[in-house]
Amino acid sequence: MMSEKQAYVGMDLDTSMGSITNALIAAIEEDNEGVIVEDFAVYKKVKAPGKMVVNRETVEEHLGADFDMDQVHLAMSSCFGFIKDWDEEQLIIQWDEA
Amino acid sequence: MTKLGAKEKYHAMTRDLMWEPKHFDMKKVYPLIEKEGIILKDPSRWEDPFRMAYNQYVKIQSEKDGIYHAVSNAFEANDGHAKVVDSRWYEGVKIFAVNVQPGEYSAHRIMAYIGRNIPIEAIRFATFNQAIDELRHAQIEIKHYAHMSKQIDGLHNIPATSQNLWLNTVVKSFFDDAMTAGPFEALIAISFAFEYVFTNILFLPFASSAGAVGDDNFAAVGKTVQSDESRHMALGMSALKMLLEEDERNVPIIQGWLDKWYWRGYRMFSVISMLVDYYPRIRPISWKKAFETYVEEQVFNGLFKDLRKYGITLPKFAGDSIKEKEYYSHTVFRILDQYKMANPYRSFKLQEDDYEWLHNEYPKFDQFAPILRRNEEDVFANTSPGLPAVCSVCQLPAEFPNPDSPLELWTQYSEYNGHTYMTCSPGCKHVFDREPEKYTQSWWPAEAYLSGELGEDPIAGMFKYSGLSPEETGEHYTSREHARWLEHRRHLGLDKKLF
Repeated sequence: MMSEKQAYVGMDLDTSMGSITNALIAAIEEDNEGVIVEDFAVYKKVKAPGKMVVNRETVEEHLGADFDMDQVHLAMSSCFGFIKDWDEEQLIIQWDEA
Repeated sequence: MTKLGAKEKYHAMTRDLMWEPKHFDMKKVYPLIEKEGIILKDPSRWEDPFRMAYNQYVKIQSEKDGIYHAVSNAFEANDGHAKVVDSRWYEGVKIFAVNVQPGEYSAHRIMAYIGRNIPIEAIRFATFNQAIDELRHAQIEIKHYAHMSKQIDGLHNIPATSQNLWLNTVVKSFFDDAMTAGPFEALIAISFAFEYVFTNILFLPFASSAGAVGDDNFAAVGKTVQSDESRHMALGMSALKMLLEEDERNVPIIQGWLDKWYWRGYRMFSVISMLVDYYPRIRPISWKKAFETYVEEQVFNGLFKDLRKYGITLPKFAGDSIKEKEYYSHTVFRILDQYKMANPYRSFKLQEDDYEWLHNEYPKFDQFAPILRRNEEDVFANTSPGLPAVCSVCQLPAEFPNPDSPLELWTQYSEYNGHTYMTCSPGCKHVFDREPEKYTQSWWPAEAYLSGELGEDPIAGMFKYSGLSPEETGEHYTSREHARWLEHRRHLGLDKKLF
């Protein structure tokens, strides 16, 4: 139960947000190591070991349009890990010691 | 004038929501703050990680509502109800419809109570937002109930179905327990046990089941609601850390609450195991897989590893819930199938593809299959006379098997004030024994029924009390509801090859 298995952080993204959700996943895959995406049809779970960073600029590159970090609220149905920082440039989710 | 960044804006718009009263004693203004033994040194340094200011909050929430209502209206305009894979799905959704919105409404009151009684700026602002969120959820769910009531029976009397059904007691006991606790305990109950550990399973895997069977309206309810829960989870996790960091004497108090509320949340959500494993004719995920992902991986292997540095261990009955995952949905389906003449939704005869899926996903299902097969000859073959004895804590029938020895019941007994009280499991017994004076006060519709409180003809009295009729209970495939759904499909020219 309390094994030394790798702890992941991540988020569940609503697939009805279409291109925004796709751009978020592409940006997360680009800026983080070891990203895993699981498809639950109405939402996608995207996770990374220990820490995940979402950068506004990378999301914009994949979206091909301006992106406001507040839009993450519309797509993120759930998350796991501590939210370390969330401002107009980036969102960081991580476990401190897991 | 330069535009403020997210951090500066949050500080500018939330500061001074707290002040020290000059003319009144702090302890009189906040009479509950020291009652639970929690020690606070400098909680003002604590911040809400979402840093959401009110104008930003309103804008985001209105966009979320717009997305939900668009999906809901399109579904209704296109006869979505008739196009789902199998109408038995809606019997399961009825359990959601009659139980979840009263729970959300209670959560809104609890959040207002917490914000009123904990004088910490960031907690006040986050609980204020959350109180409004919970009202938004209740409203969306009432709209969903109204939408369903146009096509589906059993949903024509919202005041009665929100409080008079015996199933309502399960949810009500959870929220009433939190509302009558101190503000810090209530915060752990709602933000940790309810939000962080279990709402995911309710609103995501179950929404995924909705998507798979074609109920896009319900899937949209789940996702819009859960999108607020991520903010609530962040509040719960930060508040938990803050209390643990403020003073080490808080640690054993918090551990006690985590032990209690983990189990309370787990039992309240037991019905979800059945909704995920049984009611969808097409199942994208099992309870077992959902539990492993959302509880074992994200909570036990994530959050709790992180909390070890404070001396926090896994909730006391975590191991029992892991053992039960192989049996949970089958146990709940079997228990509720026994009382299908009194439930506010219908049970159903399993189809061959159901037996196959359950057998493939759950090696232990084969122990349950012969009992459920008895429904093939007579849909009431398994019903018990009367009503079940319920657990004094979780209010579910105390008929759970011991997962270490599944042929024995797990029922536990406690003595208090010369009476014997029954609980369904060691987890609920632990909760009872901590505060027996609290759990001996519940009023239960079935007891009222047995004691004659509902009149000379108790069954008629119970239906009158619950606002339902006997035609709205029983078995789905043999019901008038199923016949009406097939007729609706024929009218629309949809295929009927499944039946």
